[in-house]
Amino acid sequence: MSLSREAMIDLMALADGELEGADLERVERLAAGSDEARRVLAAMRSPVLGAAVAHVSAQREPAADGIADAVMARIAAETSGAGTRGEVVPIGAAREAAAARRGAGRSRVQVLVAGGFAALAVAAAAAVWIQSSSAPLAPMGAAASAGAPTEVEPSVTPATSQSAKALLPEGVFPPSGVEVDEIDSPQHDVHVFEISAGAPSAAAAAGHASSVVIMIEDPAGGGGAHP
Amino acid sequence: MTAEARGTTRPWVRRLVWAVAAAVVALVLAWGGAALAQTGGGPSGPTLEVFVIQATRTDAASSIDPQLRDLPTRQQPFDRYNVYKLVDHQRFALGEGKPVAYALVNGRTLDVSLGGVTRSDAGEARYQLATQILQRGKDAFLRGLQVTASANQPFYVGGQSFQGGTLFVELVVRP
Repeated sequence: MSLSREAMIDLMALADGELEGADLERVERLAAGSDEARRVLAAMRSPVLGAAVAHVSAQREPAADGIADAVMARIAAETSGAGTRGEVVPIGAAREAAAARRGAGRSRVQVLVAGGFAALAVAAAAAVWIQSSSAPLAPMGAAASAGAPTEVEPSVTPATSQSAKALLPEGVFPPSGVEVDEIDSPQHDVHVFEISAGAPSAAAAAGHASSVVIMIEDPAGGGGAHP
Repeated sequence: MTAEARGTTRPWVRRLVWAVAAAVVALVLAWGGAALAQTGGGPSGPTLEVFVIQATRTDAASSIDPQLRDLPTRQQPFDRYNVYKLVDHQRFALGEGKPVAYALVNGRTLDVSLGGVTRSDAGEARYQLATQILQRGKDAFLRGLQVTASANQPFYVGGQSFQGGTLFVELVVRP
């Protein structure tokens, strides 16, 4: 017999229907390309061999689970007589060895892929979190630092409170910006000024106020609201 | 497929499923945290920024504190003054049921509380604020002011006399 140990194991696996995919195709090619392999495969699938094995087993091994060992012992006896270098191993041990070889390769891939997924998950979570918390926040209660004053141009609009709008009717302000809902200061005169973000007059006329100034007269304070 | 084959496949599938599940959970948690932070519901929450500005009208050269460069000095009533000084700047955590109390430089107290947060049609957060400026033993300067403001949109309460000028209290909600 010229079949190697690995070929015998593969043929056994094929006979047992354990092979799939590329392994199945490879061993089928082996069986198709070798008369000896076909014979071995046919013998392994033959019910006659099964009966023989059962007979031998009944004579040598009272226990039913020794069938495979009996078959392998017989094959070993034949191969030793032919002078080949084939080595006979118990089928259970051969299967375990083959499964261990396949499992070792797969387990490395499994660990690598699982580790890759975990690393991707951690990286994505970190990226999202960093992006969400990247907005700067000033320290709470930070006192103002008095910087050097800068020059500004004199005001061009005459200062007069008479031109100020009174309380704006409800719904005048746009959805964004500031809307005054209620003012309660019964002891003081109150004026509300509309502050526009863009061109003052045009924006105010269109009702695009972005802010308001609630001006409350404070005569009791001594200086009043007017300079 | 034999039991041995199944035994070698199941752990592989199980590990893959666990890895994908961990990735999904991590992404959901991170995205949830980001959404909470953007809507002001995160651990920090919205804050109230308070600027106390003293405005005066003098015959000297006009000036303004660099931190007040965004003050609309050309618009009423700020155009009455030509010197703007930042007296104080504070920032407070703002939350419903957690009123902010702040002692002004003139002895009065500014109280601000968040009444609620609504959403405009465009999905923009709108903060309902109740403001008071009181002084113990005296009539209230501002008994109550109800304002609905967008984030980062300031509003001002002015008119208090202080050292020859007028105080403006600027309030801004930061999301």
